[in-house]
Amino acid sequence: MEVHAGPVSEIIARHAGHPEMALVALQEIQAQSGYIAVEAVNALTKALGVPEGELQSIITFYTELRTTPPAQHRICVCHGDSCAATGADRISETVEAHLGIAPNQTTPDCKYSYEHVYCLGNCALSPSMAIDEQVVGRCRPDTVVQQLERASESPAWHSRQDGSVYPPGDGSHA
Amino acid sequence: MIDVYISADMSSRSIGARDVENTLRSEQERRGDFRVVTTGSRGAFFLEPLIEVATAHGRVGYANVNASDVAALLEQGLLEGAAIAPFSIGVVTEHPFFKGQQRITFQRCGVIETGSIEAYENASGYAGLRRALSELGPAAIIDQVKRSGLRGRGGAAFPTGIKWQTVADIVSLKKYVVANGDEGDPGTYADRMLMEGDPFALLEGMTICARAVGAQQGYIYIRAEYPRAQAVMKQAVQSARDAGYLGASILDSGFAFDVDVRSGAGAYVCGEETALLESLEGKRGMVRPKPPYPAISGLFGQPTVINNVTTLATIPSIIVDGGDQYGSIGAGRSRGTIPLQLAGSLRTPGLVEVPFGVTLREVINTYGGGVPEGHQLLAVQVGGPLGDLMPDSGLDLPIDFDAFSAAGSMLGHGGVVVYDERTNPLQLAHRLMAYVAHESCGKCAPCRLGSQRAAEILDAMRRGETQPDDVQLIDDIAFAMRGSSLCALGMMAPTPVLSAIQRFPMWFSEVNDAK
Ligand SMILES: Cc1cc2nc3c(=O)[nH]c(=O)nc-3n(C[C@H](O)[C@H](O)[C@H](O)COP(=O)(O)O)c2cc1C
Ligand code: SF4
Ligand code: FES
Repeated sequence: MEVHAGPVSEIIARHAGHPEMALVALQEIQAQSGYIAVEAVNALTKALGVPEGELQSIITFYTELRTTPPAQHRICVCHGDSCAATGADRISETVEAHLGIAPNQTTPDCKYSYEHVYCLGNCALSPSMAIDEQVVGRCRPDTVVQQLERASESPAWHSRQDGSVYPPGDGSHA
Repeated sequence: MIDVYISADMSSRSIGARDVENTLRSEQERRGDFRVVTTGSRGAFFLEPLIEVATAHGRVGYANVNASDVAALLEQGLLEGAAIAPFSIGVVTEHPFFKGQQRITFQRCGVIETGSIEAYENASGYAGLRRALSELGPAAIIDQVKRSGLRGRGGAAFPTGIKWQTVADIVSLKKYVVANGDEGDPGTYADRMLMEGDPFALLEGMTICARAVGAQQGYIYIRAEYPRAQAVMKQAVQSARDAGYLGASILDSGFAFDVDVRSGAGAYVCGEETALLESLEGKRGMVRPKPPYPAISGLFGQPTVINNVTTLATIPSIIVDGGDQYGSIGAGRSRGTIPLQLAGSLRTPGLVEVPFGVTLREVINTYGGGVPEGHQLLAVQVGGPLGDLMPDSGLDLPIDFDAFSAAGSMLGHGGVVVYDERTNPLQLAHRLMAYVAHESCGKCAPCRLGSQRAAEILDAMRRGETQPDDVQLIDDIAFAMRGSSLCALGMMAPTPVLSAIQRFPMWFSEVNDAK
């Protein structure tokens, strides 16, 4: 399959001839489409002159890169040192009970994916989790479920992305 | 017009500061008698969401505000700085959390409007670069940095001036300055706060460095978990270009330097400088053997200064006030101040900037407020997930790079995580080793296989299946990892596990009554 004309092919064209931009191109493609499709890897191989095996090994090395579409909402419970010291286990137990899945799994309706992460930089307000791009501090088992429900009402996070790594508007200070 | 300040820091927003800000903005539109200014955070996260108001006596604070409190606060005289229970904390800098601190690197963070170049200039921002461009030549800049005694805040505590000198001394058409914003140590957040709260300090520090070593291009590598820091930094780069602080002829001096912001993609090892450079070159973040050091052969094989974000953001103050001034603060060979990031089981954790030399106990008790009522301190881990687990009796150690390494510990990036009795030392040891197994880049067998095997053994132990020679086996693995790993991840990984075994031996013995 070919990559159709559109944002992804524009990203690839912009980095053509620049093998050193492989990681940036992969990140931009993922920000655009939510994941990195096989066709995009093929097109990138040709445009950048980076062998496909090399691109695959880059994708598998970086845990943030994925080759399948993400769930609508991404739940990350922090198990970094500070959160582990303040009850992260109870937060993930609650999340697991509510969603009925284990870490690195996705609910059958593709609504939520769930993973453990190691530090969100929110350690003074531990325990923390991230629901999509929103970090939630001082999590408590009794409020986590409510937070998850609230997330399910908002649109899927990757469909809100504008091609930049972060959702539009939040970097502004106006 | 009265200025009302609210933090837009990611952490502050994780407990509702965004809602408070939005409510302030709608009240502002309705009343029209004040201005809403967004800042970073000062680091007293237990006070957030914190509203501050500029008054004749200084900035007055209202702590732990909910969005639903805002209208009433305004009615009760918030704009005049009135005392309103239970929110008022008086003049913010007089608060016990801030009173003993000495803020140099974080002098503007949480104070000035973030992302505003005018606010930065009004707070002595870019005075250092102006001085570096007009008064000081490259050699004099490096001399000031050497005099300051500044050592890297990213972990290895290498003298910054010497690193810069090495790069400056090499003749090369291309040189680079790289800011390490990977901040991978769980329990740390100083770099994130700086990038979100005082982004121009980092850019100014990088530009001064570029001037000193003769670099034309800079990169800021920020971990993927910090989307807001990335957004703020990208915008700051654009503003700096627009104002002539970056670009083809900075402040019409003829000196050219520009900066690009890059995102990590979820790999702890990419905080290691050579892995980071590989990642910047678009590859997998595999650690390179050293030598050659990045200063000689770094990004794309060119001489490269790679410094931590906090290190670089400290440079402008050193150039403005002089290296001797900064160097007059501190203890032993640890000069100046260090931002410590308090985390874990503490009553009032937050970011504390103190001169080197105060004791760890003082920091934990005076600023962190000690462990919460009804709990006892189990251990303190300083310097990230590879740091030693210190018992209560070890807390009188002064905050000093060399005192820590002499005690078999490390200060690292200044993370301080406190564990109380609710933490099971065996679980903790397992978690830390499993983390290394997960994050190992896989280049050397002792690290890749050893961490995997040690994590498996610890996993079996915590399930109650301890074998007679398990501790010996872990010891052997630790010996191999320490002796033949390429980078500190593998070399230091055994430290916390061995110190857990040493300090809490009953948890690791075959007949385990503690469990
Ligand atoms: C496994 C590993 C992870 C590291 N992570 C970081 C990091 O996240 N941020 C950082 O500044 N330095 C990190 N370092 C240290 C860097 O290799 C390097 O020493 C530092 O960026 C140099 O800057 P400085 O001299 O200003 O400290 C890490 C080192 C190792 C071995
Ligand atoms: S010690 Fe571990 S992380 Fe470091 S280079 Fe070797 S395998 Fe990679
Ligand atoms: S350890 Fe969980 S946010 Fe840092």
